[in-house]
Amino acid sequence: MNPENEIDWQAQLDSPVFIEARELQVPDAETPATISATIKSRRPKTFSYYFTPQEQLLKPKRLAADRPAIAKQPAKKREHPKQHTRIKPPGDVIKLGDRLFYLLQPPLESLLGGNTLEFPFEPFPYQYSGISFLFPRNHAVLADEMGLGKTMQCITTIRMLIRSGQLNQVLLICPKPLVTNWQREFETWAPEIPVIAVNGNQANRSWLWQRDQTSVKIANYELLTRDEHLLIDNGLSFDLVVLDEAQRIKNSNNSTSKVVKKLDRKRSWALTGTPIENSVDDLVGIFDFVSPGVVSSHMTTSHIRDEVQDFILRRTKDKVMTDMPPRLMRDAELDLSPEQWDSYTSAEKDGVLRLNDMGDEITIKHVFELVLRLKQICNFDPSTGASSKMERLQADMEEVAASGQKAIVFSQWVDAIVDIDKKLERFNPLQYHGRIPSKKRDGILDEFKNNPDRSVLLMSYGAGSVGLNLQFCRYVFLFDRWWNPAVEDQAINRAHRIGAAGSVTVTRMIMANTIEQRIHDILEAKRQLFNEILSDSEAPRQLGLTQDEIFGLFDLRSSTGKIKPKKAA
Amino acid sequence: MASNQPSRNFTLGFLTVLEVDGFGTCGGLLVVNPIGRPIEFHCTAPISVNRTQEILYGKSLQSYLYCDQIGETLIEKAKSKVDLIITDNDSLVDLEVQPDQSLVLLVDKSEIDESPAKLFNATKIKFRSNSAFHAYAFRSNPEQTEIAAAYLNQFNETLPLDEPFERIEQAIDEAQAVAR
Repeated sequence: MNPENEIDWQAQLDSPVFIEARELQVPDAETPATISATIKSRRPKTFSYYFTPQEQLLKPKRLAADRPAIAKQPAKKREHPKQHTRIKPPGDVIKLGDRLFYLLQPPLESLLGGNTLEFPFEPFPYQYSGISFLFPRNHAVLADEMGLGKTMQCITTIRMLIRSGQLNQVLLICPKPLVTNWQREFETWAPEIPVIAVNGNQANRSWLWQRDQTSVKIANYELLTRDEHLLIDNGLSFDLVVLDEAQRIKNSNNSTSKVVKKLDRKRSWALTGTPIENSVDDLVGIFDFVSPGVVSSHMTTSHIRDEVQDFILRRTKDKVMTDMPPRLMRDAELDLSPEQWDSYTSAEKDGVLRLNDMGDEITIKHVFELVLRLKQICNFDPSTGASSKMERLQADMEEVAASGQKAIVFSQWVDAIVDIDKKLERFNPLQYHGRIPSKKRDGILDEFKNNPDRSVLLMSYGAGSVGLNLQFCRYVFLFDRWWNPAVEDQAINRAHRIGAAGSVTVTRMIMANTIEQRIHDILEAKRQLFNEILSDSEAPRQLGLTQDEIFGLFDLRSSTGKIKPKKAA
Repeated sequence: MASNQPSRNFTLGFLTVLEVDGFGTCGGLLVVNPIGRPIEFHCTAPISVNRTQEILYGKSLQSYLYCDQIGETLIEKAKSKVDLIITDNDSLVDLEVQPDQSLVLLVDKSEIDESPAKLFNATKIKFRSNSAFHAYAFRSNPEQTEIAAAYLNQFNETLPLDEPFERIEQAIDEAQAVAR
């Protein structure tokens, strides 16, 4: 160590120590700015709905163990249906849970095509839609054009509702001739559902109404009116009342309408191919049963349409059955035979003169009588029996029979049917009209269907225009014309319906330059309007022949001018 | 614990998540029986994420939203014992299900990715008959996968496997319409 650098430690220690203490200004350490973000992990709000699978409620064996089951088809590999028809909740189902109940059901194709319910035939897509329409509705009008299978759609929906425990007691009301038809259709489409037709003497009916617990009761309109006291006074209640051919109650004031409206029921369905037969008042009459108060005659047509649209389903063959055989309409415009022409001109001249002489005293009845008289002459000459229509029909029938086909001939009059029968004897005709007892009618239809020698069925519009399935016939002749195109359509659709064997040729016989021609022209215009009623266009009020139109068929004049129908007081 | 045998009265829970325009994300769970009849339906109100969640959850946001928020909430609501959860949304495959449940993802055959990362741990389920879908079971042991396959195959004989998702969509639409 270098002595020069040595520190004199002693001297240093002897010196007083001086410590300078100064306050040091040290700034606080800066805290960084922070941003806090709280993540809310609250669970989202949920909505929960619970359902009871329906097929567990009621097994078919509990319904009718003794009824035959539909023959099972051999097991085949099932392909998923391409279409999914869903049950949509109707507008009057408000609660979300109830609406979801329908929306969350599997598509109808899987319910009806799977193992849950067996069917003899695969329904058409539009029939699935019809079932999905009826299923959730308490108030419904199924107004499909005739021949689209309203019966099947109704039965299948009833079947589903019974199987799911939503229906126990069903009352189906139809015209008397159709009772057995409904029974047959139930056998086909719902064989496990017990069905009974209410008939017999009063004691028997009383027992059936009050004691019998069969799921589906079928009664005819006339009987219902007779049994009003048994039904209403005893407070019978139904889960569902179905009116077939519901146009029967279009007049709210008739006795049938009054009785059906009194029935205690939860669901009200109406089936009709012609919800508007003459005017929109017909629809109002039907809705007085289906959903009272929804519409009234005082409402405008467009208002009525808005109000009923959720309750009514109408499809036409043109729209849904694109693969259905065509309906070929041909108007056979014939000339009266000389004998008929003489009789016709004489009758018209005399008749018009008589009416003119009556002047303002003429009523619709008087004009109507003349119309009927002239129409009858158009069919057959009253003195000689000559008939241009008959000659044409005989010629056409030769062709029909030779080709092994069958035909239906419609006429307004039973007397005319009897005359036609005589002239068509070689074709072994059968008659089906109001003078044939109800008990014999099914046998006649079976005979016509199954006996190849029976080539022609002669029917009256009244007895044969509704509910019958004669789709094996390929020819329909309208020997004379009905007043209302809707009734004619019903008649034609006995043959032109689902399962039709091929195209259906409809021949409308019209005598040229006669009352028939004039009526035909009016009806064609009416038919056009009728088609518009259930479309989106404004509908006319009156579709049948009005009094003015019937008076207008003749040039009726008195000394004071043109004769017009009297206005009702 | 998973039973050794498939149940005859099994229940399937179809779970999906939908984006509702202008409202957010909704989830729906439809519990059905073997022939597709509804037993329970649960849906969430629409939920939407904020900017903070977007930043903080980053890439895991969708999984958080779909699985933790919506999927788990809906499954917890089910009162029935749901044997199999089926989803058509691959963002739900991280969903935690009960130990005795299987989670199956349906993938449309026409849309399948050749090497989807999501399917890394999945077991492919074989169908007895033709199906428009591939099905993958997640986090299920071989026994569970076998049972899941039995359930799917049985259901597939009645209805297309994606059909219940149509119902969920319609039901959510209906619920939204009512809510508006």
